Amino acid sequence: MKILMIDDSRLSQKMLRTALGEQHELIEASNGTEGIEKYRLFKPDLVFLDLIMPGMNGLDVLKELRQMDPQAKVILGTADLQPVTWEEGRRLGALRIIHKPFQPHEVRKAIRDLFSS
Amino acid sequence: MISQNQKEVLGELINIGFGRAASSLSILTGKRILMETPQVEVCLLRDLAQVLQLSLHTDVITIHQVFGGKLKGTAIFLLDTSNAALLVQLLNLPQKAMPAEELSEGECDALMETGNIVLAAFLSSFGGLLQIPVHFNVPSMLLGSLQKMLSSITVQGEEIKYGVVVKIHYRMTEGNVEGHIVIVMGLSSMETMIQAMETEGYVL
Repeated sequence: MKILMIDDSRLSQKMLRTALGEQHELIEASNGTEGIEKYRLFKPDLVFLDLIMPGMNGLDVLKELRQMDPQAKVILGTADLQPVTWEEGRRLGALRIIHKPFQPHEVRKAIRDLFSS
Repeated sequence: MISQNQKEVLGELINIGFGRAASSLSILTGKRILMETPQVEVCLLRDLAQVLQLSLHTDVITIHQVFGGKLKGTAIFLLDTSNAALLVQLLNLPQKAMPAEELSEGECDALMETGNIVLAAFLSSFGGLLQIPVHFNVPSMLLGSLQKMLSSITVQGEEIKYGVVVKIHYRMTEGNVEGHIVIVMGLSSMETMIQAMETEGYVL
């Protein structure tokens, strides 16, 4: 599977890479603008999207991705635990939310649930 | 301003709110986190050094998370430079020799993200207990003396001289890292917080 990680933090990208293992093709973007461009170029099967980033924040990126591709599969990654944050993301089309710090079993479960349903 | 009873209740709520933050920090470092009873003070910011029991000349690394909504303030993840170096090591990054101004970009990023995760987890949990949504800005990082850091604190773009200060001192077992989380809010946010504590039935 081709997975695009949009996150300004290299630590979180590293944790996600570790969680995902070797089996997927990983594409990285460190900000929203780069993320949107790479989505257009590489057409990934799945996007992991950070919420709080300088420049375009995650929700704005999500809106644009879903406008560009209504079938885009996006998982939000955030340290913000508030239910209202997830509700806002879901309203804009995110399919799952995973809380930081990323834990391998949670990441794998989210992907399994998404692609088996 | 804030009664002793209200301070105690606030301290307990912060204790609970920090639980998730401590869990996140524990996952990141692989260490158990031990926390002291939070200290709540209403004080001049220039007295913060005294509250933290640190010298104004101590070199610190701080990650600042400005938050807004009905509660406005700045949450600060604070480490002196030697503890920052230890934390970098626990994050599975190559051990760094001090001084801190030579931290690489990757190490700064790792510290910033750690501070971001811990502060966001804490603020989310604490806001949830009070049923007050919290909005986050992009976090920022400062390296320098404690005095320099204190002079940079603003709430909603306004410099504040006098505020509610919550000090959480934690340490890690085995890794011997210790640090502080400091929450600075203006007095109007303190009133909002007290009102929410009463509405939710925490203060009798």
